[in-house]
Amino acid sequence: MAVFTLLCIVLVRNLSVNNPGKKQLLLETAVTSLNHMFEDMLGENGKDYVIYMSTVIIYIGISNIIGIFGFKPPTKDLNVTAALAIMSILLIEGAGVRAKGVKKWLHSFMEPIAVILPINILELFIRPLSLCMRLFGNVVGAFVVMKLIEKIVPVALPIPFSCYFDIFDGFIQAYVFVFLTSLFIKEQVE
Amino acid sequence: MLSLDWNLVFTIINVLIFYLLIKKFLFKPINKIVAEREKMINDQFTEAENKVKEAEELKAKYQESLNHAEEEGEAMMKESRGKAQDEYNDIIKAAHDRSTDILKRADEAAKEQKEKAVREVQNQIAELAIAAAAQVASMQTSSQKDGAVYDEFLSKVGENSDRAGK
Repeated sequence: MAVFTLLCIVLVRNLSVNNPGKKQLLLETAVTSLNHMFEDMLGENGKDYVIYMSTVIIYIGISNIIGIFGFKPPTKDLNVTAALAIMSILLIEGAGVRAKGVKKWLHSFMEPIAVILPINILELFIRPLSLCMRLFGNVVGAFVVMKLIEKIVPVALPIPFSCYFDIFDGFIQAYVFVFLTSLFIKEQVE
Repeated sequence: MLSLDWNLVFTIINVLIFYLLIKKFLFKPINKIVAEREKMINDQFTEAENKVKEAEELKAKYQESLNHAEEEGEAMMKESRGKAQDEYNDIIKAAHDRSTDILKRADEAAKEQKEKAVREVQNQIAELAIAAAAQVASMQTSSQKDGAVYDEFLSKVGENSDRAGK
């Protein structure tokens, strides 16, 4: 995290409007593509949450692929995923309150009919739990499988598996996490 | 492994800090730059559009003035051609007048000359007649001489009229 922040500071230091260098172009492409991705997901009303979603996808993405460099991925710890999920649900409901006002937000639990009120309240806990457990399970599973493979054949064989479990699965899970969060936010703000 | 502890709170704080840092150092400047560039490009587009519009206006104006100039030139040409035609006509007419005048004068002169000649002949005839009468009167009229006198008179008249006729 500190490394990433430092990298940001160094890269952002001398930006120019007229003649961007290669580094700046790359950075801009990355940032604008992230922005566009989340703007598409969040819709017109959810633009304020773009930066948070970008932060989370970068955080989870880095956390997941850090296993390549020999660190333990932080998302392997249930506390981290739980924290992220709690923040997500707080943000989702907060966005709902902000967009609709408290009364309407409370009323939205009884929509479309009052009977599903308990289900909607239950969803309040199920959503973060599923987010948390999905991420946690995937990362732990990938981590365990990788450790087993490394134990059996420590040379050469782990490379393709590492590509799949660390890079592909890591990014997929990061994407799924933010995708679901944005979907819920969009649902709330509309 | 499946237990929550204080690490959860630390993670939340960490993510929040990370969020603030990334917002300050990555997204704000880059979004600002991108927005600035977008604005610049839009400005340039509007400027270019304005320029094109202006150029078209100028073109229309020039076209109009060009047409106007052409018309003017044509009118001028026509006018000068008319003037030239007029002048030509005037000159021709003047020449014609003058030539008729000259002819008339020549005619008159010839007529006068003729009249003058005729008058002269008449005068001479009269003189001759008088002379003849005088001669007749001066001579002793005799029947013998009558023939001679006639002959002389006639021959003199003939000579004179011959001369006058010439």
